[in-house]
Amino acid sequence: MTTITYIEHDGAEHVVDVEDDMNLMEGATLNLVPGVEGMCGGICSCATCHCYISEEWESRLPPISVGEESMLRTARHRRTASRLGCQITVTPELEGLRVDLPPEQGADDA
Amino acid sequence: MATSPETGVHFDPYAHEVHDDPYPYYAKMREQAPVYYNRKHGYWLLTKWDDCQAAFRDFRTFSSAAGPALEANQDVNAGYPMFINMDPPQHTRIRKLIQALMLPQRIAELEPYIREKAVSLLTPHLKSGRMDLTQDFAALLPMDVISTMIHVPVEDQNQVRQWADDLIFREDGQFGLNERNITAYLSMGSYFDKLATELSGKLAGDDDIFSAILQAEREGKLSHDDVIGFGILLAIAGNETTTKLIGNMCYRLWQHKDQRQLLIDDPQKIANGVEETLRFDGSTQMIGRQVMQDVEIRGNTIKAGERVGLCIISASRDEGRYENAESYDVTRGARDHMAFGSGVHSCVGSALARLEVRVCMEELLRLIPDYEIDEAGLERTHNPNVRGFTHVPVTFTPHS
Ligand code: HEM
Ligand code: FES
Repeated sequence: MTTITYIEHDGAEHVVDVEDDMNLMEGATLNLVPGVEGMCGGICSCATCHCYISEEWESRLPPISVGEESMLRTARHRRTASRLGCQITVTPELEGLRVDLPPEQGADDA
Repeated sequence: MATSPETGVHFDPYAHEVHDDPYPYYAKMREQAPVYYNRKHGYWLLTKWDDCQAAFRDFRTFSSAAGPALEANQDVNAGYPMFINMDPPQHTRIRKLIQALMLPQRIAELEPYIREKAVSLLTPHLKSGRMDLTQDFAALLPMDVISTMIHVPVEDQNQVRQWADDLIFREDGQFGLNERNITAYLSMGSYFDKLATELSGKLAGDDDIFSAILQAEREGKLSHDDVIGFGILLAIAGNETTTKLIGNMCYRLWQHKDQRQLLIDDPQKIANGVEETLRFDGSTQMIGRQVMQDVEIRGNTIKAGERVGLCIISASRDEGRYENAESYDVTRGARDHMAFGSGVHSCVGSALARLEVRVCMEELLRLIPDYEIDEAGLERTHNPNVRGFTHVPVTFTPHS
């Protein structure tokens, strides 16, 4: 189990224990954390698991794949810190990670 | 609190008449009884986008443990285990075994194969100027593709597809399973038992679905029965709904010829056209859940133990969510429809389905852009969950 903190846009914090091999989207949705939808169930097709991860953690994360990038391009409120939670597997290395959530989830229509 | 609202709305998802055009019933429910209770069979239906989304999200209250059919399946757990019938975290651990193989960028590798297959199915009919778009085309391609992923040999594909059809068929008004459904299920079980045993010595690595599943069996993550369940689930889920969506799209484009012309003129738009067909006439009508604790929705109390159908084809036409929800607009491109469900159980094959339907429609509109449907020959499948045609006979200008 790895402890992850999800921070809603209004500042509300949710500290949850996530089973290893689950991803950051599942960590949130399996614990019913508000602000993460995960509508496509984690197959990188909806951008409703959008989150922001600060630079200091970047080196411990898998790089952004082509598929993640093309989905992120459609996400509302994209920033440089943007990631898709479903593409980041939780490992003990991520103990203490803080994940900021956007004001709303979703992609713009094509 | 009103538990069973008396409304003027009558709806029977088992009536064949409803299957022809359920949308006016749903529109009426969204307006007059968005949380609908059917006394005869004792189930609830959620028809609004927001309510369906909230229910999909709250998997603890809305459990999958008795299956995703509208009727609670008491035998679900007596049969082969399938992750579609499980709740997290067990569900998620099993789904994860194949999830990485189902990402759009991974699935994209199949495009040349799918295109070649689509062309090879259409070509023999071009000279005659007539074919059945379901029987000769849409029913064959998804089975072929999923078969390559789960190693069902070509000579067995028709048999497996027949079992899949028999498994989901419902007589007019039939509630629950009958002999034909059960026999098909058992036949599929022994088929995949044999196939898995045969392949377990041969396949290595985790590069395709069945290899990944057998690898998990070797690592002790799955039992042999889990492997059989996986095979049955993929053969059913990866098959019928995709076939039906292709048929629904052929029908809607024929009905709305201006929309068809837009896609013929600009094939780049076909992906959006697929998305709009998923929204406007998806091939899964509703998804069932079992309520685990009393829950209140729009003033109605649904009690622990009751069955609820999440009407995703209704949610996708919710005027509270979409502008001009009842109009078919292939340029819309909205991806937040519920054709694939939502959340933890959301269709794991959605990227594959999107690819298959797009490529099929690209080739169909290229090779037979002027098809005319013989309406008298249209036939539907009858099942409260799956929606679409078993026969779509067409004629078109013959060419070579
Ligand atoms: C247009 C075609 C398709 C439609 C409309 C569709 C629809 C759905 C829906 C609505 C669900 C959610 C079930 C629930 O919430 O309980 C689902 C789940 C599923 N679908 Fe699809 N599907 C399609 C194609 C496919 C394909 C091609 C595959 C092949 C691999 C597939 C495999 C699955 C599986 C394995 C599940 C269970 C996922 C889980 O429980 O986590 N589907 N599908
Ligand atoms: S859950 Fe859909 S893109 Fe991550």
